Amino acid sequence: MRGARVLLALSVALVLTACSASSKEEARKRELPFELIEGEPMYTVLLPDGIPSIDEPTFVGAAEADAFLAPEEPVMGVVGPDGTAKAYSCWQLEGHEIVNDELDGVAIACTW
Amino acid sequence: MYSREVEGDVRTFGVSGKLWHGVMVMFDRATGTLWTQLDGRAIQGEELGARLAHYPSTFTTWEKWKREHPDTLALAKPEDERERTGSRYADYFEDPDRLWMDHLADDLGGIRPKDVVYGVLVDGEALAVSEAVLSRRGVVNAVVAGTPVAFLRSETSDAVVAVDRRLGERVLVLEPFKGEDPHVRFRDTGSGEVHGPDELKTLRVDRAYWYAWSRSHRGSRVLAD
Repeated sequence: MRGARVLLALSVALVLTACSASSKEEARKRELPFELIEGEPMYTVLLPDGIPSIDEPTFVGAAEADAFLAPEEPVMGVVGPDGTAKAYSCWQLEGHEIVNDELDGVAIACTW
Repeated sequence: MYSREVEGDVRTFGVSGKLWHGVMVMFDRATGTLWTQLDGRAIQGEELGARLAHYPSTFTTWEKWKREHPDTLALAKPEDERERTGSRYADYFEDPDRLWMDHLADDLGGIRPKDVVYGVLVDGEALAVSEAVLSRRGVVNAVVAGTPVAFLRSETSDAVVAVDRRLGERVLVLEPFKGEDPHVRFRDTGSGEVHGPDELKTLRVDRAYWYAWSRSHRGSRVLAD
């Protein structure tokens, strides 16, 4: 996902070389507080936990998940060292950005 | 997908609400350190220099994943989250004109050689801020060579100072403050306390044309419109 976003941004940047970017976005950016990290602005958009991470995730089996996951729904899939497989819906992740989870004893963060 | 281990210690991560390079920044609940989602590096705070190990994952569809892993578990989705069918950022992905919070547009503009900048040099790393940006903002907080700094511009005197943002154990994040006191003051956004720049350690700051600064400080970063 992140890779796709960066790729999209890069290709859009190339297309826009000859023209100016949306002035609405520029104006919005200028209103936000920022600080520089390694010379690049880090904008403060929300307060910490303004988007709630999932810190104690619960899971269901595939059959039960069919009730709320569409076949074409994008997911992040992982397999643990003992072969346990888990899927995290990307549509759902947009509302949380981070799932703090444990997979076969390995602590992982699914980030979006 | 990242491992949550930092030096053998398992951390829990939250959403900081900040964006860097257009990408969400996390914080770990134990130390408040900021971590970029780009490559799992700590970019500010106690764990600066550390990096989270990447964990292999697959981006696919539910249908395909189930086919490959019929025994898979799935993250439970509460009732109120089941109505959403589709990405809430669909117009970002589909509209070629939307560069949401993406700084790449800045790279297309650029600073001109005769633009005036204010520059600092910390441990061999140079950073400059254009006069235009500093005049508009009043304060620019930054990190140079791991040191939290701020450029402060006085509205009354046009004087610019650069300070180290560390005060005792704390790192302040400053914003301009207009009070009745005629002296120049700045407020720490974290605590709400008001400080004068004399309370913080000042750094040498040079005022120069960009072409002169960049020539004598090769590789200097610059923040400009």
